[in-house]
Amino acid sequence: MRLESIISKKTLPGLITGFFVDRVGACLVEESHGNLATKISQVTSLVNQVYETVGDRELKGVFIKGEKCSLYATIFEKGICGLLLEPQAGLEKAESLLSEMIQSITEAPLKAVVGYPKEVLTEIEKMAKEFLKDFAETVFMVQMKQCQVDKENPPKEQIEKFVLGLEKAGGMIIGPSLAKEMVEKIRKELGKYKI
Amino acid sequence: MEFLMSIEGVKGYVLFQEEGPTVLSKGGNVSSNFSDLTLFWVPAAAVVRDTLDLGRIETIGLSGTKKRVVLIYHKDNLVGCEIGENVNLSQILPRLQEVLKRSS
Repeated sequence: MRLESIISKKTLPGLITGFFVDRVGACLVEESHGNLATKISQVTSLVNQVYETVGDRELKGVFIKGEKCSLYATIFEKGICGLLLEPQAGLEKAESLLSEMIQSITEAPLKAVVGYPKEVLTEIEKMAKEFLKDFAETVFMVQMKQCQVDKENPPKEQIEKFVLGLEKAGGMIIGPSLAKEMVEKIRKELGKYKI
Repeated sequence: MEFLMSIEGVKGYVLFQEEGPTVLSKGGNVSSNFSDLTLFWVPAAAVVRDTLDLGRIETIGLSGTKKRVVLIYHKDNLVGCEIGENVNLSQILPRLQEVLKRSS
């Protein structure tokens, strides 16, 4: 069964919504709870950071039970899958629904990723150097790592996130106006590609 | 808190002061990084609570295939338990909550 149907089926009494956040931060959540997508994305980013910092690879499941509702999330190789639950929701059924969601993602056929040619990264780096000078290399590398950009065939979503990261980091070095100018130039270059 | 050791699946426990990493008592066997886990996950859970409006946190559970860690807010303290494999959070949490409730 596809993840979208599992999330929307509401097979679990007390389920507010299920969600999946992939490794670049894109959040899939039940349509009626679309307003939660940004918050869920922020929370999963924090969960990932703590997971990486603690370094205990064994503990991939996180359950936080609050008075009003609970979060149950599992970290796996493709991202984070989770559930937002009302207090009365049964934990045992939640555990099996989470497993079902992960299985549906793991077994899903890989989508063909249409991305930019790898040369686009060289172009972006060249433009970043024009503006960020000596800081360009470090900022470029840090953002590449943070956005987990595929160097061979960078997908559109990764490049968009990467460019936003360059603007944010660049703004702290050269000021927001110049950083915006840099990003506009990069976007103009990206516009030459039909993706 | 020694009574926690009588619950099937509990390998060890640590009683923390709720607002700090101070260990008040401990028993059984827990992983060497147990305090670190608490130190990182407790404030992270508070951020999650505020972002998603979960309300007052009652329990934090961390689970893997070989071990589980449960942190339960109890009175003014935080009770941490390490649970062995073959016992799921869904099985152990109600038992722990019941025993803690009876003890108070």
